[in-house]
Amino acid sequence: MSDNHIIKMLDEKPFGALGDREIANAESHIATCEQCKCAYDAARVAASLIQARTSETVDASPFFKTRVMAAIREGQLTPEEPALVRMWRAAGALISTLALLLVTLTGMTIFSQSPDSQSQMPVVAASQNLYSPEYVVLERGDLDEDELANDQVLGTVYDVEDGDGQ
Amino acid sequence: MASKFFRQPAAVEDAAQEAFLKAYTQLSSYEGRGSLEGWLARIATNQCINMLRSAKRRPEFTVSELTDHDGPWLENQLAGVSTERHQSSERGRVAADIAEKIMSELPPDDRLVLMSIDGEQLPVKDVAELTGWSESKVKVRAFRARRRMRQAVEKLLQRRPTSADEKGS
Repeated sequence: MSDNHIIKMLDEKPFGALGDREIANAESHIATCEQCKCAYDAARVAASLIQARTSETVDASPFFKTRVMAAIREGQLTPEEPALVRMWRAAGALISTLALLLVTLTGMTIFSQSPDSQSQMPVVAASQNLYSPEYVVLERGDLDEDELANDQVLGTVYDVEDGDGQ
Repeated sequence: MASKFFRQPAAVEDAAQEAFLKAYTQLSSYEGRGSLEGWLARIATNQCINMLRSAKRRPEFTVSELTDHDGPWLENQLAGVSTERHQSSERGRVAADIAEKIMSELPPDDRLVLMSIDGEQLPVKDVAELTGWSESKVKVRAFRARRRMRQAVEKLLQRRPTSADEKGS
């Protein structure tokens, strides 16, 4: 019997639901098994504690019904918002911040790329024809000058080349 | 139902109010298959479990927290003094105090099965309906909850100051 510990039996069913035979077996076992005696005593005390806690009741205050009715009325007056609106309320700030960040990053990407592409243009032109008159003029000339001025300069250059050729 | 989970009247009323509000707003989902009382009990149970889960669980109840009344109550229990014979309202309150302190350490599901099966002697089937769990899950939960409760009480009994210690000091 002393090898047949009762701890598992104590956990399997409520202490109060143990039958007379089970109690008798348990009590004869705990006479020789200290470990099971501790568990048995604890299970007995735990059952009394649970019983005491269960028998305790809390009376509702006299205003409880009024309080609940007021809460229901308040709920009726406040129309329930659609799920999307509720979601926006919860995550609106985060989504706004992310959108602002996205716009900022996009703007920075566009504006940071523009000067580079302009500065790369002469390089591309140079690779195509390193000594072309256009490259020479555009490289030296002021980009703010109007088209007419450039045309005049280019015309002059070509005239000179033609003259040299003659 | 809420008083199974909470002891403070304010917390009980908060839980009950929320359960009534939920029941009112979800009345259209009640299909009339079970009893209205059972449906309400299920809503209240879920509400209480959710409230307990969101609350911070109490740290382990230690011997140093035993009050002057708790020690003698435990002594009497160990001496085998019948609870019924000495179940004055004061003793009952002391026992409920100790029970609450120990059960506050346990997960809310454990408390539910202990109070329902061991306390109110509800059948496993009823607890399964109340919680929406399978019967085997209720049994496993109850087994584990009982073991945790027993171990917590065992620890408390082993470390409690005995009357011999008090006389010695």
